[in-house]
Amino acid sequence: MHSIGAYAFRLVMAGLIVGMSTRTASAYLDPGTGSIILQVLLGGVAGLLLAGKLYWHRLMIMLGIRREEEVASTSNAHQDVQIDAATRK
Amino acid sequence: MQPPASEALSGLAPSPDRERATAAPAVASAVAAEPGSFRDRNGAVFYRDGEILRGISAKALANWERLAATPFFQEFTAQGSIVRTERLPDDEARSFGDWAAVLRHEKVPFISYPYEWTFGMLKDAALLHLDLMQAALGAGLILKDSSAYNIQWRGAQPVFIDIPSFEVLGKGEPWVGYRQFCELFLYPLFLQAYKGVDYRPWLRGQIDGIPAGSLRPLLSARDLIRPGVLLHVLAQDSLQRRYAGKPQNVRSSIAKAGFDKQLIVRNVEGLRKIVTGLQPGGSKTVWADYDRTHSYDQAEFEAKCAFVREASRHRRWRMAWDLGCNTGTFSRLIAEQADHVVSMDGDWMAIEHLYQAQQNRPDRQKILPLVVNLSDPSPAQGWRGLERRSLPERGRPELTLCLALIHHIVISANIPMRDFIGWLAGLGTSLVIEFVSRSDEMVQTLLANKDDQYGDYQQDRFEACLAEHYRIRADQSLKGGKRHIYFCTPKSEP
Repeated sequence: MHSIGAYAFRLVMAGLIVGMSTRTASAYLDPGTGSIILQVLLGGVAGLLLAGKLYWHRLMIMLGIRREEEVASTSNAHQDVQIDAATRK
Repeated sequence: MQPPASEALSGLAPSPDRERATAAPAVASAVAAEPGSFRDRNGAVFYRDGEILRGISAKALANWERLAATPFFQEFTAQGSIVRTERLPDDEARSFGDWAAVLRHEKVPFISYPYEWTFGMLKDAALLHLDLMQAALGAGLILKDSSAYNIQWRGAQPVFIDIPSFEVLGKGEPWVGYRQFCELFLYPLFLQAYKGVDYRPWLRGQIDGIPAGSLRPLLSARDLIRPGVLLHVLAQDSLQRRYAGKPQNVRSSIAKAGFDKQLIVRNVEGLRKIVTGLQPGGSKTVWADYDRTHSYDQAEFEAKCAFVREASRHRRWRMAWDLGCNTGTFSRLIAEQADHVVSMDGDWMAIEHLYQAQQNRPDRQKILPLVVNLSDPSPAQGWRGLERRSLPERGRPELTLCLALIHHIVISANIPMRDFIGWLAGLGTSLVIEFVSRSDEMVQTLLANKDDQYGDYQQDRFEACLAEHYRIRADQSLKGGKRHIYFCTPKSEP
């Protein structure tokens, strides 16, 4: 798990994970979006499987197999982003 | 969130907490708010008659009830790693305003900050934090923040003090305090271990610690293969940049995708392995071997020890400071007569030596070693300059030891002798002080490459300064007359 290869793999995964949904944080401390994503990659084998699952949707979109709305309907990603973006104005 | 002070507050300027506390309808008049306790609205620390109390919200109360029932909390408390805490009876708690409950904490002898700790202390504090994380996760709880300021010291034993930081972990929730753990524990340790750079000025300079983006530019290609750097620094910095300023919060996404407590456990285990392996980098500092190479011969050294021991037997002391303690030989002598000793030296390696040596000693819980440069001591800082206190504001000693220090203060740091003695007198304590004369080789070394602008640095002038503030109770010539040691008490004392 701690070989350079595994690090590199997790690093690549980190770079690929994009387009997450949003929710108002309930903590007084801002955990940082990037730091939360990284925690997926730091979670051992289960974390890598989860990273793969999250990335799978993006891959499907990039390959044109799945449209973005389908991803949104499973995770409410776009709806959440819009609400959040609106409340910040 | 913030540490309770060791002393009841007096004369502090108004703060957000104080204003809130006084605005509440039924707050007792003798209550003083801790100005550093405001970040988490689920609780606030305040003081009453030397007691440390903490009002908590209904949400924090639910967490407290869950925490108090766990075996790990009781075990860590019993071994002294979590501050002893009890809940006040409801009828008593009601007098403090509209808190759901009020907790009472054990008093920590002296508040200190991570920028005064040695590498070994910060490392042990980090490991305690990870131990508590692991134990909490096993009980369905988590530490919601990871501030290094939440750990204090009972002598050389780390104690976790921020009880409301324990929270029930919701399903699919990440470790919110992970980034903070990196910024206040991991990166400072990396800085010292991997780059040989003293992290204390960095932590003193930024209350929230070192961001990944500040550490990254210092890292060489070789550093990238060191444990923890690629993911915890580089990847974290990249991801933070990637998502900075975007209205995205991934918490619900990863929760839905199946983020699980086990991922946090793995991360904590990984961090524990990394932190355990860290060793301080950099070369040995000047005084590290001092206790083996001091300029006394054995008989003279024993005479000095006997004088200090005899002076310390003047009475029992609640708190003593050993200024310029080096590796703590004399701190241990006065610890026999004092409840607590705070041992300070500007040389972190000497303090590290003391800290490590204390781990296996019976007086482990009595002596707190701190890295403090007396000519530039920790200031009051943070919000309104009240979140972190200056050194003397954190509790005064009753006895001050000042051995083989005056020549460094007057000649190395250029602080006028009369000014320094005046500052010592301002502490209002008894004093054991050693004058190192011009004939001493240590003074000659310091003067070797300097203009001698220290005309006042003479024994008779020194004694005149002392006599302004103190009554000299005993004195003795040491090292064939090259040094002279004094035991004095304040003139104000009978």
